[in-house]
Amino acid sequence: MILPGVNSDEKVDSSKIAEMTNKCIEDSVPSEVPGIAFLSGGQTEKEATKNLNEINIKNKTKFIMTYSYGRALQQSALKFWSKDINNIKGTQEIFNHRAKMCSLASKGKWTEKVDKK
Amino acid sequence: MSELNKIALKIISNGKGILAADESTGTMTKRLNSVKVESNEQNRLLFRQTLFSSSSMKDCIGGVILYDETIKQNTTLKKKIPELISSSDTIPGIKVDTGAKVLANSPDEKITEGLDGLRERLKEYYKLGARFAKWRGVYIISDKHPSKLSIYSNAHSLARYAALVQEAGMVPIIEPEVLMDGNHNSEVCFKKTSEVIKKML
Repeated sequence: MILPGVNSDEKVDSSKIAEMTNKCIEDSVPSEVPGIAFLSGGQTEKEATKNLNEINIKNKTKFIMTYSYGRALQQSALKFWSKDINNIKGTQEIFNHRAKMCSLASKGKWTEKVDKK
Repeated sequence: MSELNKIALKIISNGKGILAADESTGTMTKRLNSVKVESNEQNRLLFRQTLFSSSSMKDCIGGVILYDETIKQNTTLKKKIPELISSSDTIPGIKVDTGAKVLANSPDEKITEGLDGLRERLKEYYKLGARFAKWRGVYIISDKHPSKLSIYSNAHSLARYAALVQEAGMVPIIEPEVLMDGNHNSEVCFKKTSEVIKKML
């Protein structure tokens, strides 16, 4: 994703991030590539989800735009699990929620409201 | 459509994406220690098999990228890790680079290693069930970076990696990661990332 550096003062909303990211992909990636899977580095779980959602809302290219997330899928689940490593169900519920939010974002169907549930 | 194209589309289509669970033992140890869990083989397995047996795998996760230790592990659920992943109709993948090292003649930058012996390692990973692979090239942004040397060196490694992976019957993920470190604005990120991707592809 196209984002300002972590020490930059620039404030950009996810709409601008999505526009720049889509333009970069459209201009630089050959059409033979089946799809793009973004990384979540430096972003919170929510930011990574919101930005991907916006990218898909604005996506006019033929590329599938989805996620290849590590921490943005695992971090909340890891925190929960660490308190009781035998609580498999509870950990999975948290992971399921994050995975579903990312899945919705990959279709441009994520909302703040559904994420809070 | 070629077999490899089918695999690629299966991983990323219909609201699915990739779970990157390929943290090296060193990185995973940091993550586990940050939540005060001891990093041993059993705990690394337990956390990962918990994720891989979740109900959302089927609809939301088309592929899982594994680390060398994990792809060879047996779960406590009577399945090997790749079998557990495949049981959700998700495709197992493998990180095959061996990390980013200092780039000779440009000490602030890095070049990803792991091409030596890669053909043989890919054969082994295929037998273990992997059907796609990942290689991460890393680039920094500053006034002078990424240098031409970094862009061309990493493009060369990624191209050789991708050809070997396809030869082995697997889909290569080309991962050029332009790092967020620095005080550059989004316009600079746009220009430099576009340059990296164009030269690489």
